[in-house]
Amino acid sequence: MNTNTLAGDQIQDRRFSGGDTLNEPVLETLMRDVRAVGRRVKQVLYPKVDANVDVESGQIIREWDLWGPLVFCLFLSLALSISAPAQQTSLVFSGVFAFVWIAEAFVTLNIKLLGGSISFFHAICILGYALFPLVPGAILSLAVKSMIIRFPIDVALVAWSLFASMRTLKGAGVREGRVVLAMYPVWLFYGWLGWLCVIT
Amino acid sequence: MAASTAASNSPSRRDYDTLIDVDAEGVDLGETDLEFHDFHTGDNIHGKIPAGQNRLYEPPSAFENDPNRPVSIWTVHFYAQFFNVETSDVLQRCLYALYPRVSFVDTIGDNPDLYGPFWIASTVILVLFFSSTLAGAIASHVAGMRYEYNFALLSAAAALMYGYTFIVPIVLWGVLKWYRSEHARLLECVTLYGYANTIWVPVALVSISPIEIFNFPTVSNVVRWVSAAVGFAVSTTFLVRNLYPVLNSTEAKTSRILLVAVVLAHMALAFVVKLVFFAYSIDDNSD
Repeated sequence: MNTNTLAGDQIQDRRFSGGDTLNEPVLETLMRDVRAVGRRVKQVLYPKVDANVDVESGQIIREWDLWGPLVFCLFLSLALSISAPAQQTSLVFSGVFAFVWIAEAFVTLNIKLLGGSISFFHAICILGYALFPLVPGAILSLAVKSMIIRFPIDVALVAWSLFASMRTLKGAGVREGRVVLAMYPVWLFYGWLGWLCVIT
Repeated sequence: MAASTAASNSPSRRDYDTLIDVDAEGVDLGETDLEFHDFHTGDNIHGKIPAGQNRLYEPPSAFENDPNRPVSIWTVHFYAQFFNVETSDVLQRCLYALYPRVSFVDTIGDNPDLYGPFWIASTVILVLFFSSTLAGAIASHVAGMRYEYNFALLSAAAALMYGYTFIVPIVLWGVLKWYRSEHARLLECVTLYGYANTIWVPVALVSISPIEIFNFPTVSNVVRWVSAAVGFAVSTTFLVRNLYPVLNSTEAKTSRILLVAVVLAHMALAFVVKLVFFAYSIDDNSD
């Protein structure tokens, strides 16, 4: 990652640009992407890791990707479809996968329609990365059979997702009086996925 | 050859000369009335855009100075005009839909929104799935069985709610247009039907009926029928109260038929909600 300064603004390349990538092992190329995904997970889920919070969360807004959201969405759908009733595994897999992407698109479109200044894919990236806490929740549902034990754990995980996404979105540039309108669909989205982890 | 060409061209070249001369004389910049105009770029950026103005969309950035600039229907900005509401507006509209004190059409004025219809319908879909699965889980816990949820309930709820909220008002509007009603406005109809759905959220939550834990399936079935009936009554009252002036603008006979059709369609919705999403106890009793 190269950081340069141009006319007082900090310019940051979105992709790795230093070094010879032709002669390096494939594993290293892949690991670099994995590390980038890991870094973004850290940025979204631990917004206070760095003392300079604004720089941290501003960074993910500038450099987004959809690898993390895709991987988390796949794991979530897979875990939920394995724990689903026997005849419905493929329905649940395709249903959850489609639900996640359609809901993310609608939530973001809603923010844009309310006058938010965030760009479309940045918001989808943030929402997708904040999905991460629900993946252990869905995997937990495979092991723990009692809904009464799952329920408080999943509530805590959904709260973590909500806190992380709302903290990173920061109202998404929507006017003061409309922040609740913009964030309400986000609660619906994570809340419903959390409930699916409980009920499955 | 070259000389003859030059000779033949010379008259026309002279014409050009005269033309250029005329142009050169005619060039007159006139009086320069350039001055600074005030385009009111700073107005309306804070707070709601007042009703009555030409409200195509909010000016999101500095370059949209002209309020009359036509907006393509393929842009997000075009649809932003249907989302020109604040949190307090939406909450107030939901409250009036639950407890119709004043005329809803007057409350929304000329600012009907699509935020409410879409997200209230989505909320109802998810809440119906939530309460239906929770009620099923409680019932199977009582019966000592392992609960298997039905994922198809979600798509059924989505088809039902989105379909009802958006297709019925469009059909109603079409029929009203057909009978030459001047008061029929499509957005108003959609907003009305959208907010009428608010009641189904508390109805669905009450219908979970945790009494079932104590093994009273008949009691919770009664609770569910009563709550569905209350939901039907409240939303029908709301719809009829606000649609009546619009329907009345058609002939007496037509308006009566339309009113009956609206109520029947709503009753059908209430029955489907009750029978599809809270049918667990019925199956339990019949077994």
